[in-house]
Amino acid sequence: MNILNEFLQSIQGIFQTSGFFLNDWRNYIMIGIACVLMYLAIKKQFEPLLLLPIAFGMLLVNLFPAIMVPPQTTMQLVSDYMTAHGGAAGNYPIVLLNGQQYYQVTQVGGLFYYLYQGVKLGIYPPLIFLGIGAMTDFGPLISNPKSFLLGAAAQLGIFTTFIGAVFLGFSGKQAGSIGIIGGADGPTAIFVTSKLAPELLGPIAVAAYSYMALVPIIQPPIMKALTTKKERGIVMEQLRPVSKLEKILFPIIVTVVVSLLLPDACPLIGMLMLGNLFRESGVVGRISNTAQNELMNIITIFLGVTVGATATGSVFLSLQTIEIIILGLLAFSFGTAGGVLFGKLMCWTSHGKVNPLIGSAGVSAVPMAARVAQKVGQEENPGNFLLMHAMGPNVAGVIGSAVAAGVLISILG
Amino acid sequence: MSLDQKIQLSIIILLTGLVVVFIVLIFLTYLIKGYGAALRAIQSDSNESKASVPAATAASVQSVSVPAAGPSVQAGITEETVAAISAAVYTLYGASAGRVASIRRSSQPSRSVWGMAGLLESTRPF
Repeated sequence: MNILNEFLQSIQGIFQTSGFFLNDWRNYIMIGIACVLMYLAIKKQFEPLLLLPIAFGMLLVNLFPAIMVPPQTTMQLVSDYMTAHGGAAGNYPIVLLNGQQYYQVTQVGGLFYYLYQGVKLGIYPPLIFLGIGAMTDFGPLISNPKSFLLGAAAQLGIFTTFIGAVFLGFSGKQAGSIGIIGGADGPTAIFVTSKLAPELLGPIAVAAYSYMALVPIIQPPIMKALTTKKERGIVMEQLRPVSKLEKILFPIIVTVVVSLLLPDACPLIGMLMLGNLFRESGVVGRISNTAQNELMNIITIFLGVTVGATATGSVFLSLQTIEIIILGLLAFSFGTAGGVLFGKLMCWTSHGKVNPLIGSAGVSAVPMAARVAQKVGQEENPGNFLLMHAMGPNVAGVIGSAVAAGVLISILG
Repeated sequence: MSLDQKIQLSIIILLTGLVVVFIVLIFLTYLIKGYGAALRAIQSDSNESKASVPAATAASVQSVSVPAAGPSVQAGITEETVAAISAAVYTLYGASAGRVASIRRSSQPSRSVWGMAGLLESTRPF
């Protein structure tokens, strides 16, 4: 009988520590959302490199919330501890409370807690930028520096969405983090949010990456609504070739200028340009390869799963998340509209030499936004190749959103 | 936050943000334009000085009707390839680009063939 009781108690204990007992309905909804995101990543290939680890991180944290808990310290009577450990003394600090000796027993945190420190301390996003820099060819931007203006205009979405977020009741810091979704740059969004409003990291990261994946659906209607058929059919002149020296000097000049003017943007811009210098200098091929392949992939895994792990049911399933997702969509739309409208202005001032569609690529989302400009342009004129022209504003958008991030951190941080 | 504070904060962020982003990027635009032009000028000067030396040498020699020399071609590159490259250069840059002076194989790229294939895959239009 005693054995049966012990057996039943053991089974009960196991059940009480299982996910079925500890998790609430919100965790199960989040597991459902994680499965939908995994379906989108695998079946529809929506930004799978990031969406898949994010979705799996979300799945894990809702199955086993302790995977994200920080280290905890508990007080245990020294005598109790020694009894439980066969008389062996513990290697913990001893505290005297009410005349009794206690061990300060430290319990290690969950796996994702430690991996998450790279997000929390702002380490992963600049390292991702290092890899992006090593993969990016700034040639189209150097050959047509006016593209910088389109990259600046497309940041309109960040600042207009900030206003919307403030009026919806978000604090200044939270509104800045929501606005940066309009930069269409995942690492920048995570960097700013981890500095300004870490409590919103999950919803903002998921919204940012989801919208980046949806760029081919969100942008074309806005681009078509704001341009005429004639403007969309404009064929742009061939870009001039860029010398190697120009490409080598570019990252150095951009780093010096941006870091001096806006020190808060230095970690992002500095690492982006360091990666690019690795690539363009041609003397550190091995490092360049590592930055754009192994390092990038490792950081992507850590960043993805830990950002996904911030999306617990209690945090994610709230009105705030719905508001963030709607505001994120507005941010993307305003950013696209800002770029296209500035493209129209440049088209007008250049007497029709600039196709306004390339302005839409100023929202970053490299290279998806440039590919969308190419596709929409080709629908009007199948012989029109806007891809390289759109790559200029596209990479300018990366620099522009990092500068905008610096402004937000500087003012609100 | 009161309504007045919200309006004030919104205007500050909107104006400061857009103005700073535009100033920084306009500054970079002119800087890149400037150094690009300067480098091109320096490079064209050095090319002209290099070109003037053989021209002077040629002038001092009694010239007979020698057909224009073709580009110096690295061993192993066929005439058909040379013709195709020359035609492509002419199509892209026109007669103003001058003539093709030399054709040689590029050095081994730092990216692997598989890496290059991946890059092309991810940057290819739909």
